[in-house]
Amino acid sequence: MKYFLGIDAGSSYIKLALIDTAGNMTAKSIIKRGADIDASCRQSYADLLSEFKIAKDHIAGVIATGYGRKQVSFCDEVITEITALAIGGFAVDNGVRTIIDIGGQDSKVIAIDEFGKVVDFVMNQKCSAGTGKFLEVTSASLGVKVDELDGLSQKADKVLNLSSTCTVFAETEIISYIAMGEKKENIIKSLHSAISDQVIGLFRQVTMGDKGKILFVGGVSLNKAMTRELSTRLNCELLVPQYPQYIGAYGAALCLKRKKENRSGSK
Amino acid sequence: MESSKSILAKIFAEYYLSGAQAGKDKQPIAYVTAFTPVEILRAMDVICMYPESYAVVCSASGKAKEMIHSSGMGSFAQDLCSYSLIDFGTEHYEKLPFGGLPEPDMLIAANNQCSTTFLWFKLLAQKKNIPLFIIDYPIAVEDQTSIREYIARQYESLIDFIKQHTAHNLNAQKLSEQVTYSTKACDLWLKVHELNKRAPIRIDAYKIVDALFPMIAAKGTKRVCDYYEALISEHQHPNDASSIDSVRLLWHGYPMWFLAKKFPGDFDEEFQIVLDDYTLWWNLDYKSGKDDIDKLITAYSNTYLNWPIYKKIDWVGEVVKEYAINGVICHANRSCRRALADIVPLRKELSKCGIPAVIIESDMANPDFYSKEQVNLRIESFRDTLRT
Repeated sequence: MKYFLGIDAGSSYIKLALIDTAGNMTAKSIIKRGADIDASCRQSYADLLSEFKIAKDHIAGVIATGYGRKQVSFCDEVITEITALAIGGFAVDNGVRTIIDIGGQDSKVIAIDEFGKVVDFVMNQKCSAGTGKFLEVTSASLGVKVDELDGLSQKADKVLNLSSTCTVFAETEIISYIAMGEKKENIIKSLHSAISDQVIGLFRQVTMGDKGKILFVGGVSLNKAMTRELSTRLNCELLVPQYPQYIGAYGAALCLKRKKENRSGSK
Repeated sequence: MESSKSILAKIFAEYYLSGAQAGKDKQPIAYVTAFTPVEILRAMDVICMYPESYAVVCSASGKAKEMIHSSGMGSFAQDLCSYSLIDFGTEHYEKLPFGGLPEPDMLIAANNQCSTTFLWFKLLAQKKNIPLFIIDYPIAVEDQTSIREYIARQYESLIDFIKQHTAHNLNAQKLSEQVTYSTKACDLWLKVHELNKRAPIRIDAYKIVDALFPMIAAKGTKRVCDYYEALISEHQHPNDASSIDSVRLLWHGYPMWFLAKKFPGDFDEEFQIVLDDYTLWWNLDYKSGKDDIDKLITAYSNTYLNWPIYKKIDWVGEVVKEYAINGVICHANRSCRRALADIVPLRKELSKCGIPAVIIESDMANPDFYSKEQVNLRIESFRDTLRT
């Protein structure tokens, strides 16, 4: 059996997705990114092979995507995460026309056509507002763990005015709200609303014909409060795949598989 | 024919030496902002120096970061225009390129390019205790009758202002000569761009950016025309007559001067920038007007950044058509509020017309606001999008 490995070397986590020749994801792993991206990816790769008892010579190729893709020295190819997410997202459901990805340090909205081709994309600007980092930093200042966010957010009774443009300013505002005795639940709800503002801003910039299904991926999509907030604001259901953090790695692996098949087919 | 390189070197030397020479000859020096009607000043024997252009030199020589941080010592906010921060930094910086600009006798600021430069010049006027004249250009809407009268009155006041501070009169013949050469230079400047109108390109797009300096520093002189004629003649034929079907890109807006003579990102003959429209902004219309002053009014009140947004979008659309552009990279230059405000609607309008565009956020002169990885990722993703 041959496998194709996709590595998404993201700004916060390194995700690996192994697919078989039928395109099924047969193994996956995620680790926090270390200072040495290449070493982290190597270790993660070795661990994955060992855990799933796969011999290295069964790996037909390795492809890297994500922020650290060019640091992965042992890969055969690299692709940008826009392309990887488009391929992965379309493979999840070919009715998807828009992908919202909120990762550690960037967020993006990608429009794809009925063939899965990227027709437009918009990414957040230089600052980390509207990203997972925003949520991580601001929730840390409240002493709240990320997996508590959903429950707390549901108990909110109002939305506060919070900066949606700067993580640092937002953190300062949170400290002010805490000092004023504001309920933690309301602050958390407001954080999600602030991130939504940023993502909706990106969404409106993307040119798309048929809006189709909207796929929500990236680590932040695991936070149900965020999914709910975005669904409400967009007035539609968001499709969250089973493993939303792996869509980039999965899409990259699919891309490599197709390329290899095309090459062997053209010989 | 003298080579363009040789003429450019002379223009550069003359510009930076003119300040020192002016001191010896007791010739008055004015600091001017971009798109000041320098033809009037030069026809009154005033040497014109551009602090904005000098900030470009500082940025391109890798000194911007240090200079901007120096300016912070004077309690200036780091998010002001980076040209002004570099200028403020020159006060605290010792090893200035070309020894710095000569001290001015007066300041002339216009708001047809930037709506805040006059505030920078106001500060300079206070610091240096020298006179300042501000020319106000209302946004160039379709019916300009009353606007033209308003600007004409200001030009009269400008002439009086210079006369009052230099005792020099306006030399009508010199003015006419200046306007004639400015007109010719603009015609030639457009032809320089048109070298890249069709594939394969004749001249590297950044070489055109580099060729802008004479249009600023030596405007209204025969030497500028000689320079552009030489440049055109040297680039009549493509270097590489490759038949590769290239993706032709337009860089919209300011270059990033600190990147040392290149655009960010990886480009090659399959994916190449053929034009930066910023350099085309300097192609002014000097031909419409009943006399020289009237022609200057037309030229300087119709600068790109002084247009209403719908006109700017139409213009970029025309450039895209004329130069057979496949995609646009929009530089959201945080220093330039006027240009920045247009970026999102421009991208949207281009997309509606089927022209893909990507926005990258950075700054024209301050490398602190440039994130190589983020910019490269956007450009690389854009390349993927255009290719697939």
